[in-house]
Amino acid sequence: MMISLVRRLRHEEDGYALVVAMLLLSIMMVSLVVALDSGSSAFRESEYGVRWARTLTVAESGIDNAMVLLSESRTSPSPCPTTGSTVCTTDDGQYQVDWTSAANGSMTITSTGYYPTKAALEFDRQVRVLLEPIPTFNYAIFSQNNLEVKNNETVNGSIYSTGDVLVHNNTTICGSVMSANGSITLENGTVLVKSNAATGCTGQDALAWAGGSINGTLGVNIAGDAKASAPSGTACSSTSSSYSITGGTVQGKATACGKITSTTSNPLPGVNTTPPAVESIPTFAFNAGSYTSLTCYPSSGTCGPLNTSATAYSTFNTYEAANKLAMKGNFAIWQAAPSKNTVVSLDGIHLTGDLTIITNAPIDFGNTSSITSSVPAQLVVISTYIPPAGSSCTTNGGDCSIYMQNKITFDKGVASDPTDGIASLIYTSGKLEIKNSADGEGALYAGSMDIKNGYTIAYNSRIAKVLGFGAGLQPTLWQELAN
Amino acid sequence: MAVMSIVATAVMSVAFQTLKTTNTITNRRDVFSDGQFALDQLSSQVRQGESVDATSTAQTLRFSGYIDGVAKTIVWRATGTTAPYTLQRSTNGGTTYVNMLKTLGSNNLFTYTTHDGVQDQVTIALALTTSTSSVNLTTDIYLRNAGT
Repeated sequence: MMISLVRRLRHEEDGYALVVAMLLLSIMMVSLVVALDSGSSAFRESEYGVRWARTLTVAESGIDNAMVLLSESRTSPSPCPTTGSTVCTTDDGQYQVDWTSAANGSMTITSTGYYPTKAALEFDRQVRVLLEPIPTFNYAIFSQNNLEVKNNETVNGSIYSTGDVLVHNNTTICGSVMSANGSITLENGTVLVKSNAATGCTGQDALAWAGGSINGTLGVNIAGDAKASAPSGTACSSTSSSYSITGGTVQGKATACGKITSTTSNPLPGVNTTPPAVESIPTFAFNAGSYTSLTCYPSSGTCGPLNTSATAYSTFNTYEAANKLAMKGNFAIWQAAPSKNTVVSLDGIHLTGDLTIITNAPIDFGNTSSITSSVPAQLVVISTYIPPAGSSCTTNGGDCSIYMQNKITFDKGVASDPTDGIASLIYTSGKLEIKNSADGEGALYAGSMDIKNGYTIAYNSRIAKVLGFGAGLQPTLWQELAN
Repeated sequence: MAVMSIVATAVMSVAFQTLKTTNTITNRRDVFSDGQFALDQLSSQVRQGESVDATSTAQTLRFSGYIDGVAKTIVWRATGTTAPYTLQRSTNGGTTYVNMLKTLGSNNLFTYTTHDGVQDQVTIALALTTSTSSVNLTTDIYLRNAGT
């Protein structure tokens, strides 16, 4: 048997090469198939990644388009809403986009990108972007002109004035004080601190920075730096009384174009620094379309300062009197010939939600009244009323844009909790006067203002982004959603 | 007989080489596929990040972000004492992890860049190790929600 096999192998080899060739060919073909499949697989993986990424850019196109439309008008409709069948087309695919607006002026855009088309869908990705008004109000107290703050006040947050700043006795400021073109005068016992455990204020610079001199008297203490800056080109002198820092104590570095007599371990007299940048009070521009719901006085015609009524203030005051214990919503009051005799009353109101008051008339918060709230709320009070030249507005009242008399308190909730209670923005391009012992969280912005004795104000960033101040919307949250 | 032995040896050699090549190709494909998937997920999550935690290192990235619109504390890390390291992901602040990739040639994955005082850029470098070579996948991701 074995001999027969050997003989066959030695002498009967016909077809042997064919078998070997077929075997080799088979192996080579397997190898080729594997190599080709591998290449194809890599290509598919790569193509998948490209298309997946491209779908995101399509969805982003929807966001970009929405932002353009909303910058023109916040009431713009979507050209291709998700709820419909219409799609918007780009070079890379198609998208559908929707947006909603909230009472605080923010808008949420949701865009879905389809690749290559919605009808022949291979990939889809969804992106959601939150747009919020750009922060405009960053100071606790802002005065376009000279600012006077009376005795024994507590301020959490920074103070800015383009003109002089005068802070009377025993005022505690947890923050910085800046005067772009004037001097800063801090009277007896006034302190600038970096933190205040009693009020929960922390992380402040406690900087005194003036485009003029900084004058302190007995007991004045600046925990941060002090800078008395002069305009560029000023010849500085370490003995000059101009642009000087005098009196009190500066715990940080004291730098003055003029002399320095304050107690400090780090004085730099005769050295100039750049003054604070001049800041203008934010300009209010009314746009009825910015508000999701708006009650307007007068109620007929186009709501705006050009459509006024002789009874706008009184009609609103009637409403306020009847509903003062449940105030919320957005109100615009456009008074014909506004004057000190057409005062909008916000005396003793109770909030049941966010409240915005916009008017061209003066506003009065009454005397010794409390603004309370049953929920965390934002109170925005805007008066564009400018008292006539020659009129009188003091802390005792008169022809003021906004006036508060004696212990007007805004419900702060828990003082250390910035998320509760009322955060209020009191804004006027005219004159704001506050008399004695008011108390609140938020910010005060006015063309000019006087604040008398014992006012406590704590800056609250909840009012940093208020509608109507022309700064537009900015994206603050970007999310990708599973869909 | 001798010729047949030589031919058989050659055939076997080609067959083994083909098998070896196939394994190599398959390994590369799997490693790249896993790497790309991990990088897609990591990029997507970092892109939605709000802030990088101060405890983050080259081996561990901890940040607050969002998954499907829900706020999460997300952790990505490389584990192991020697290569190949394992890339792991946690979406519950580091309580539990899942393995994403087991073929990392280096555990130095993350570098951080600050712009205008905000740490808003993470550079991710995945050194993917196949059976025959090492390939680096690198990408820069900006935290879209940082500093807002």
